[in-house]
Amino acid sequence: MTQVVLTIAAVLFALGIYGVTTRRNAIGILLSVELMANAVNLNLIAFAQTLGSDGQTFALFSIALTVAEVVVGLALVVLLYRTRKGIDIDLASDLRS
Amino acid sequence: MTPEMIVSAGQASTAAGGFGWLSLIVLAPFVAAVIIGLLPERFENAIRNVALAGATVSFGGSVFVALGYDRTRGGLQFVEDFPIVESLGIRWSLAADGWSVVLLLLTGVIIYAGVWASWTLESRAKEFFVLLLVLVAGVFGVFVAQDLFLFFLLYEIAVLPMYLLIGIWGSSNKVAEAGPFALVFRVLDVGGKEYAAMKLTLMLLAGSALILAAMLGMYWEAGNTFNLTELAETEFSSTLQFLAFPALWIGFGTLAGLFPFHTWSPDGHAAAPTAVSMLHAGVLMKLGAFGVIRIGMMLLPEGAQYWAFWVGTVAVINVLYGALSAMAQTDLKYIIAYSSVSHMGIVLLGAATLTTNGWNGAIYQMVAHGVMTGLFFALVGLVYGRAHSRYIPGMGGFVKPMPFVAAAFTLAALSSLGLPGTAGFVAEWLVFLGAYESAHWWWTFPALLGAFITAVYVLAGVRSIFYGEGPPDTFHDLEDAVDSERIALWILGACIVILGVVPGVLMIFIDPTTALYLPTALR
Amino acid sequence: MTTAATLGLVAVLGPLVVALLLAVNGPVRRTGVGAGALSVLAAIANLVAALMLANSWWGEHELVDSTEWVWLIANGETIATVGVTIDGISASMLAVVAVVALCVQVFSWSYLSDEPKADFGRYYMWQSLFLFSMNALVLAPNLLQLFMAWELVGVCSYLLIGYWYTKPSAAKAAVKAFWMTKLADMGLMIGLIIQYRVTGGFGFHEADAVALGASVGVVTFCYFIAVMGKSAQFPLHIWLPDAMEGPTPVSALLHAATMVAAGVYLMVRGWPLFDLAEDTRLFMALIGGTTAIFAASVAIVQTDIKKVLAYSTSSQLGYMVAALGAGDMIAGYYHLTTHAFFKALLFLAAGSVIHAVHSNELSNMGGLAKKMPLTAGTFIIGTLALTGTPGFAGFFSKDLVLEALLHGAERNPVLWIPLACCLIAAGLTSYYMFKVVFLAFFGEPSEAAGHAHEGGIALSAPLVLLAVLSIGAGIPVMGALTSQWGHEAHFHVSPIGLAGTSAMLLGLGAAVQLHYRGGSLPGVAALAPVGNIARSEAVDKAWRVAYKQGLRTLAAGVSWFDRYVIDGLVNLSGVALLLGAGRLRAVQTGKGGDYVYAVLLGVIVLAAWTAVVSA
Repeated sequence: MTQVVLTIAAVLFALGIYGVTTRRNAIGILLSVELMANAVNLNLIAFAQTLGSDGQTFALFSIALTVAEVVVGLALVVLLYRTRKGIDIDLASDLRS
Repeated sequence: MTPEMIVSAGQASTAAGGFGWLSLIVLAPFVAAVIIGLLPERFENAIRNVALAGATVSFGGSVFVALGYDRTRGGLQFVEDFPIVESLGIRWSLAADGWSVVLLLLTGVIIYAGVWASWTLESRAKEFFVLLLVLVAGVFGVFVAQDLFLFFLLYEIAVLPMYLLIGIWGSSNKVAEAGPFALVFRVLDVGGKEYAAMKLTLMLLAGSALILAAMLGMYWEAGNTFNLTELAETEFSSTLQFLAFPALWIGFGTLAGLFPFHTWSPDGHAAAPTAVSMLHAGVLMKLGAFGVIRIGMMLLPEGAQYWAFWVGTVAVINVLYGALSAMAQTDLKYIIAYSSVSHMGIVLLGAATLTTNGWNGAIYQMVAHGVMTGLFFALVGLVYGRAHSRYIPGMGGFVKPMPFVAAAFTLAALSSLGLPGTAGFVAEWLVFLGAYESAHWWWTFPALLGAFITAVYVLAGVRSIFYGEGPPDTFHDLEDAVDSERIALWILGACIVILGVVPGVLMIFIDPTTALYLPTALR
Repeated sequence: MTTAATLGLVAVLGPLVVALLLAVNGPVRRTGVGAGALSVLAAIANLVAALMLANSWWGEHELVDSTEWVWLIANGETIATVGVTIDGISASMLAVVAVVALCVQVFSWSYLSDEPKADFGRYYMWQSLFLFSMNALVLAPNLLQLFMAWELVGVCSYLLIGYWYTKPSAAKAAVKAFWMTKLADMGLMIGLIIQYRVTGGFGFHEADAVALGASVGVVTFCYFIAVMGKSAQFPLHIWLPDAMEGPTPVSALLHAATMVAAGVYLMVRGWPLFDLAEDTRLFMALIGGTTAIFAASVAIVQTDIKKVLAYSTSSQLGYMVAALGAGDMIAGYYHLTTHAFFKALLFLAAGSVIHAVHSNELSNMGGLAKKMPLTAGTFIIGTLALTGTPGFAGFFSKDLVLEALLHGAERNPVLWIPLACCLIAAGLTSYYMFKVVFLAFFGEPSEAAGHAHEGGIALSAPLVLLAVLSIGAGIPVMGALTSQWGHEAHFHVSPIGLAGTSAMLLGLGAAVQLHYRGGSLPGVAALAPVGNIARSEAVDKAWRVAYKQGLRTLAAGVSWFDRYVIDGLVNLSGVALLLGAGRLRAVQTGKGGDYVYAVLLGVIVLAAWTAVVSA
């Protein structure tokens, strides 16, 4: 059982990485990040079955955090749209001065 | 409340479940900061009053702890101990010994006077008081923390707000481009307030990195404990002691203005606003010296004894070098800032003597210098605020328009040169006695010479600012201290005289604790 | 607590209470007269207490009444005490200080009556603070308290010299006085530190001297350095003439009668120590003799009446130091007490003159004897006492000093030098003092002197009292010294006494010939180069060079080094980091994808490393 869950999580994680690296659309990247986060949550739950209930607590904690993260992330996207007239992340490359 | 009741309250709180007086002292400024943060900016009076209330609670709490501290029993009292991160051995562990008591009192007096001294601040008063109170909460905490991790955490809390306080409310200064490294002036705005804030923060953080390294070394070797008492009982390996002590000495020493890592101090203090200079030179620099003694010398006795010669010798350099540098300054704030470098040298010298008199003197000098320099910076702020200049040769005859300021300034100057009857004398005298008793008796002489040079430059400063005909026509709005400022000056001035005339009021706390701790450092 | 201790505390704390009250209570201080009244009241209480003590101790000089409180502790043990110790020496000194202080405070009332009220109040606040400090010094139970009070009288001197703070010269003189004495005080601090190290205390009794053992020489030498500063001994005397910038009553009290004598008092107090230190005493005798003759020669060329008196004070202190150096404590101490009276008298009389003609310059005086007979009379009494005219107080004490040196010289021939110096200085003293008398009180009045008139009762009463003491402190006190202290006093005509008197008469003769008759003396022209040297202020200049070219230059150098080398290195490291970071910044492309690839790369490296480590 654990193996199945772990495999699914691994697939989800790979999908997430693929999305993050290929997408230029900010919302798409945010979605991919969420996929990766949830893959990790799945891992936590899977290991919790054998290693004790700490993992489940942690997963709940992580979900709560993810919610906060999405709020911040979406706010950033909105700001990006307002200031750069688009949600392509290459529009925001100010770090290279 | 009768004294017996207060004492019994102190004893009761040593048992688990007693009222947390020390937590109250540490958290009151923090709570006040949060409340101020929630208040709208336009409620200026409410903001000031909340700040004053926070300072008052801490000050009152410190007085209560001093009254309740059972001196016949000595040792750690008012103990509070709760786990924070159990698995790592990090605990909210506070307790007061005789040293903490006097340093709490000092911090209480300075923050109380500091709030009064910044009463008339106009720009961004809200943010200013928030940062000031957070800073002071950290300072209070360091003096009573009995957990090394907590000590370090609060130490950082005390150090970091300084960056914003100087960067936002500070004042800039021009430094002439010269010397072998003249080119760096093209890149850096030397003397500017952002520059000063950045230099101060970076140098202190570099020091913190050294402290952290030494701290982790001790943590692992002692078997995952941060408890100061347990660490003090641990026999650390010679290698660790040999390496960790200089790390702590330089790390904490940077904050205490240790030569040659002191250069943040003149620029930082000169750029900082009044109350911040008061707190920083008055209390924060003491954190550094306190750390060297309380952590460095007491936890690593072998290292301390090995390095004592260097600690004392560099301290003597500090005394002389700071005094000579101060003598050549023409900017009022720089004089006082360099004098702090010189006077902190006395503290470190007292620590390095590893004698009873030297340690008593070092702790006493922390208080004496704290009060004296607090008074100095309050006055400098006052003069600067009215004269709009800090250039001493341009001043003169200020005693006419501001007699009260002149009198207070003279008092601070006299304490600074170690006049008997002021706090400075007791401290310097004890350190000199200790230095002569120590293994390196010659330390006494350069230190004495430093005290003489102090007399030269402070009195020369007093003369050119206050004496003579004048004031020159260029100064228009010179006026004496207003009531809120006078409160600050009276408190600090009274402390200087009382501590000079009756040193017993603090010595009854300091001496038994020194007697208890010194053998730890002499193991 | 004994009655004596209570009286001692009244003497010490009375003025302190007044000073503190005036310090914290601005309104009372600014009434001026109220502040003065309080201060004078404290001085009267002090005098009453001092006289009662002196009366109880008359003939009981070996009785010691000491009350002490713990002041500093170390390891729970007391290391320093404060308190009051009353014995023959401190009781008599207390009385001398009390008399002069009261006279000066009364005199000041009239002398400074034109001052603004606030300044008048401030003056009396400091006078009270001084009286407290001086009494604490006199009654000190140990050398540490003596040192603390010693520094405090120094600060009072600083504040009172700078009383007219708007005058730049007064401000400079105040600071200079403090610096010079503070420099010398380092000697006292070092001495005390060594004494503490060796004996564990700061006592000045015979037991302490014995406990010091071989260190007694070093310790007393260190103490003597401080004495040279405080008691204006060559070459640390340069602050005393400048200190005349203060109001004249201040010069009378601090810079003639009491504060400058504190140095001599320290040696009297610590006599058990100095008694054992043969080498230090030899040095003392030489310095004392040098100062006596040097300051007297400089006094001759002064034109300012207060400067003449200032150099004269320095010279007379040289006598006291020389006597102590020769090993005769009583001679030095006796000269201290008589000098306190007649020098205070001379200063106050000079103050009365200055008050009348509004100038310090002798050229602005002349013929004042007719206008101000009382002042002239008392000034002449003071002069007669100072020059050692037989019958006056100064004669007996100066005679004792010369005797002491002669006895010393019989044991150690080196002491002939200070003896010769003191003898010549006696002649010089007589010359310059009578010169002042003739120039100020006789001859043609100058323009300013024409309108001069005698001051009120507050000005004249102190003069009369001190004049009486300048005569009366002679024979009776001498008798007491003989009977009570068992000191061998000489009422017979001794060769050395005759020599001293002859020197005095020679000086008087020269003054009469040159300044009364307006005649000339053969050989005076040949002395012109000596006069030029005396006027050149060479010592003063040497110190100024040491300060300006030495200390200031060193400070400027250190400051430059700090700003541009030490801080330059700090800045250099900052700049180096900034430049290095500029290179590294190229890594930041700003493209989101690049960062993700970097993260992935990091993960792969970590995973590979973990695999290698675990394998």
